[in-house]
Amino acid sequence: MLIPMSEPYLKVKKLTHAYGRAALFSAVTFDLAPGFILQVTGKNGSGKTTLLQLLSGIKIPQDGSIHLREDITCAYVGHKNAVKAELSPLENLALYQPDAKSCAQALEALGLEKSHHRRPCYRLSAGQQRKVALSRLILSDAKVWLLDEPFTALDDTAKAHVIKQLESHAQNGGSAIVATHERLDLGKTILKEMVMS
Amino acid sequence: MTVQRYFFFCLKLLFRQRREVALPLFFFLMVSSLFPLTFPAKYLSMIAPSALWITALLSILLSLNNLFREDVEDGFLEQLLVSPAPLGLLVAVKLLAHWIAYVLPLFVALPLLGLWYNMPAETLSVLALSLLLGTPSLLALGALAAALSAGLKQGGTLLMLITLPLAIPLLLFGLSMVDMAVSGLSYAAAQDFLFAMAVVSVSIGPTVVAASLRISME
Repeated sequence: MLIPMSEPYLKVKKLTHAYGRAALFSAVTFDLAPGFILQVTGKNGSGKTTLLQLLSGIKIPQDGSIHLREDITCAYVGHKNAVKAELSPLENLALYQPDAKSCAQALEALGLEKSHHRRPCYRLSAGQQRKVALSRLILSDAKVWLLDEPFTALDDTAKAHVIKQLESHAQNGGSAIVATHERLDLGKTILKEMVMS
Repeated sequence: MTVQRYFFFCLKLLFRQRREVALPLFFFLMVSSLFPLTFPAKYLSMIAPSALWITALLSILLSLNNLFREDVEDGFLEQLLVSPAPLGLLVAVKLLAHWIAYVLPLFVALPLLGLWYNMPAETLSVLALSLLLGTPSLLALGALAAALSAGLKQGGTLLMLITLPLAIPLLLFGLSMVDMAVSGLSYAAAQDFLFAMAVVSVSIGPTVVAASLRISME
């Protein structure tokens, strides 16, 4: 079956989630088209993390539907880094990409110097560990990136690196959903916003 | 993330955590050493199978305490859940790596303890066989409890409370194998039971553990 290039990567319809009897959000509906970055904002506890966990498949939807285009995959970076402290950045990334050169390039693209690539991650700062986590996205061939508070612990230079990667991903036909309170310095043609309330 | 890469990743991680990995082995050696110090020598070979089976059981349970907790805390479990590789297979290779790192060294220590306990070589070999057949099921049961208690603060205690009663049949059949061998009788029935349990645990255990992990994330 041929899928039109403009077909949305992700179609979310009437997505509803509750913890116990307390509804977190209800009837969330949106499409994510190729080449767009969707910024999700909203006050603490409004369900941004849960939404991303539902979209990534970590949690199962209670009601509503999530349709991911058949020919694409998602990559997810949660607010926890999923980095093993005893292993070096290169060893952590080897799980996702066996080619060490590609891993090193991904780390450098996010501003992690070569001298840190072989150190155990427990010797890296929180910001440097965050860069290791985010470099998983660059290594993946996923068309949809799901990022939960990606800028946590990052300095301004590192934030600029991440935004540059997002921009480049969108220009290459990828899409992303970014839950963050930070202002995303992206062109209005690719940036869409959604407020969780 | 592929299943094969994840297996080697687990082994490398366990090697880096070798100080923590060595603790259950030291526990096994220390507690096993207490019996020869406190029991009269003439009774040692009689209590040896029970002492070594129970100590091995507790040592394995001790090792399971951290099986999934660290993955929950550092967010790694989320990456396993979003991986295109089947979660059941990822759990299976994690358990295999865990068995290699934590259980295999117990077998290396067994001949030394057998000497200390004055165990005949034949009895020791049957004890080793019973442990070899019993530990996969024990690991699967413990992994299930570890998955259910992964996000809980007192998870370690809960793990013991859930697993110990379920492990009693394994313990009894394991010891029955050794008793039969000592009495010169056929231990085939107990061996077959442990083997069947191991086959069931290895074939469906990882899938059940994977389902429990998904539930614990809800």
